[in-house]
Amino acid sequence: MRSFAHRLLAVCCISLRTLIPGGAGEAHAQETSGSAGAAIGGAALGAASGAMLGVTASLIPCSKTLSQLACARASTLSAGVIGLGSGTLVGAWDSSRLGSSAKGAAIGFGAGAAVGFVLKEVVRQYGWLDVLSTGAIGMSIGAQPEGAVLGLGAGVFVGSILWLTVPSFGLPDLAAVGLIGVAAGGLAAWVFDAVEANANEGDGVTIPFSFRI
Amino acid sequence: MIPTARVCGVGFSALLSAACATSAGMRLGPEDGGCPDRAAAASGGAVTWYGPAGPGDEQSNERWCETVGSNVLEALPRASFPSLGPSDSVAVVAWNILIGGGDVPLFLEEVLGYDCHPTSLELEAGFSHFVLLIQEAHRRSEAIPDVPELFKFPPRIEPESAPTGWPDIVELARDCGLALFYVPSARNGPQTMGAEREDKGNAILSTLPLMDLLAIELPFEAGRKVAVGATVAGPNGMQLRVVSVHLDVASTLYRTLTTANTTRLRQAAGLIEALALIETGGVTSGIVSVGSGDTACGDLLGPIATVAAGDFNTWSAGESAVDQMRLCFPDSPPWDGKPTYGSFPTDFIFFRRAGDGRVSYLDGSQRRIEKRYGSDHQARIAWFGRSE
Repeated sequence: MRSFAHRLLAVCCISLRTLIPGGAGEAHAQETSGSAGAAIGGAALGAASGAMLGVTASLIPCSKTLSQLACARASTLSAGVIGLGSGTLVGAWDSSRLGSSAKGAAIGFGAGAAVGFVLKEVVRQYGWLDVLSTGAIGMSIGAQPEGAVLGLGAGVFVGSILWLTVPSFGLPDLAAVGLIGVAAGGLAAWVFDAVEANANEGDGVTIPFSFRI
Repeated sequence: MIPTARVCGVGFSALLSAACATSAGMRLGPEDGGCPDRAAAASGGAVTWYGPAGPGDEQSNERWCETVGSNVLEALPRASFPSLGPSDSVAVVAWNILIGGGDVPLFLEEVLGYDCHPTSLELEAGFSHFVLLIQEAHRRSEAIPDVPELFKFPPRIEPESAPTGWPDIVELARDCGLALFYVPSARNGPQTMGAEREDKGNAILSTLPLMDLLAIELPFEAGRKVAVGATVAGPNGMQLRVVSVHLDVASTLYRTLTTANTTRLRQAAGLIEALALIETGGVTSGIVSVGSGDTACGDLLGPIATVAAGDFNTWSAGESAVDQMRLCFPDSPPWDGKPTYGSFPTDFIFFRRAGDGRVSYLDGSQRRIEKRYGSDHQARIAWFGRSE
């Protein structure tokens, strides 16, 4: 459990190292075609982003079930798998598109960490792991900012209507729907990117992995 | 080139880590340490002490415990009250009094018919004996240790408009002639006022003598929380265990993400497990898997009827911590749909009968007190008496 942040940080570092232009690995950000390295980096970035979106979306809804942990696990794993699959395909087919996501993730991580640092100075019990956590959330949103923001808007809109019309629907429920919107929007954007990348790539589906025994 | 398997492994590690669980096993209190209350409990003091078994929980609780003073016990009420009649009931109140901001004497007078001015301690005819389960009680004392600023103290809470004299819980009990059991959980800020410092925690005030005292340190989340318990006795062997509970409002973001927001569920499970150990009258081993839906409630028809009530800091009445408490306290008063802290339903009264069924919740008697009496929470009250 304690190694969660370290693992997440490792994923982020590896993803960025692989994907940022001029970085190591086989990805070349300005190329429109994919590569095995980009596919691997896409898998890592998609998995990390998806998992973070999934766990964030689960926080409030799953707290209303006795199987809270199982519920959160299911949300995290399913969102992570969607991110993993989509990220792999985006990297395989369109490394330039993946490069944009990686840059967004890096910016999101920085912005999130900055917010976390301010919180650390203000909130008594917050420490560096919380700075890393806000950075990770920022990373997950920054990887697909348009989808996350659109999802947030849709979620808040739907939540507001429910809040105004359903007496038992409280502010925490509105927040929950907003967070679900962020996650759904972010994941939808990953899937949309994969579909778009496939369309740009041309006929057929080729995943450029090679295995040597 | 980074090996494919390693990268994928790291990716999956992140997924799985986010879905990992924590657990909160409870055990009978520790044998050593710098915390005076726990040390006293270990050497056979009046209080039986329960704490979480996890090493992280224990270390954090120990560190916080070293910054507060000792518990306060006045097992017998100083005022003389009429004895409990065979058909009398006992009122149990759950109230977060915001570090003495809640005007307890006025509350007692208006809600329970008890005038607790030192010159006229009397229970009005026709009114019930009562037990107040208090959260956010505070105590001022020179005996509270002066701790270096290196420790990150919770900030001091000071009510905007405190009652006249702003009495602490010890003064309240003395002025009102009530029995008191107070266990501090944390400091109320690092400041020293004159020679005195402040701590805060849960307390029980009662017109009935307090016996079989319990302190239950809950699994550590954002701060140390100690539930306090005691047994009150009525006529004909009627017994009621009462527990004052305060759960954390939120943990750190890191803990929230890595434990799937199970802060209060974990603390509720710790409380439930400790009460189960108490019901069985002994120490058992084993870790409760929190959030799996199979948290052990213990013997639902144990030897003593139990009320566990207080500020659960829940955002919703359908939260898992509340559901888990209802599962283990099946005879609880139904929730009336009324919030007690702004729009949030934070305060609850949970109850389970004993095997002999002699004490029961008096149907329809639970209600929210509409006035806040200077606190930021509204109190809840319910009556318990002999089953017909």
